[in-house]
Amino acid sequence: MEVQITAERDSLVVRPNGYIDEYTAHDFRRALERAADQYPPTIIIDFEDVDFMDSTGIGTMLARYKVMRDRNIELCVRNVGKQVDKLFRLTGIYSILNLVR
Amino acid sequence: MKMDNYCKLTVNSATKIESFARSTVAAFCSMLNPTLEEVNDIKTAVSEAVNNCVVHAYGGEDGAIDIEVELFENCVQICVRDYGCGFDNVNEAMQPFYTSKPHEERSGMGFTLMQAFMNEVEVVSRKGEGTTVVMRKTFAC
Repeated sequence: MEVQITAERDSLVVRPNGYIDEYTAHDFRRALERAADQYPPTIIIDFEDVDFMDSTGIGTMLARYKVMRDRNIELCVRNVGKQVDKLFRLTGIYSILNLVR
Repeated sequence: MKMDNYCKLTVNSATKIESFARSTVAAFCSMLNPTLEEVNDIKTAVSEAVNNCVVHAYGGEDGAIDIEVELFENCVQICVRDYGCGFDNVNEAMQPFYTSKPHEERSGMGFTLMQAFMNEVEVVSRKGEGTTVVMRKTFAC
């Protein structure tokens, strides 16, 4: 899976493309690791080009969130589609990250 | 209730096949004119069930995954069966955040999400023989 990382003001934006499941999660994880290794104040995951995600993606995000929290990096999400939004709501992941516009 | 149609799909366990499995089941279910949200619910539940087969039942090795989909007037029954390692304690495995691989980056939410996205989920497992997950969903149509 292709994952773009771009700088936007003082944030890094991670933009995965396609679907996030067991087959693609390692690309997603590596992109989040690369972004976190730059110690930005904020990492925004932009879900605009993601059409599907399952709990494998949730596991990846939770693990990366712990690393980011220890480095004082804020984790945000934006452009969350309906399927991913429902997944986030049902797993309670919105309690640890911020939804931004 | 009279069955409208059915399909059977057997795939070899592989992470790459999960996308094909959930998309195929969702496409078959579309004959009942479900809403987009209902289609996404089916996709998510199937993805979780097949992922359990690939990651937990077969642990990355080859193995058959049988998927049977039965369509009724306004509901669907999906059966996902593997012949992998199986487990003893179904109640424990279905607890939120439970995972048999705690050292990996896993949410332990697979069965919880199947239950959240479908109306009914039944799990039968026998250690050394495999696991069968039966899920049912009624559509609003």
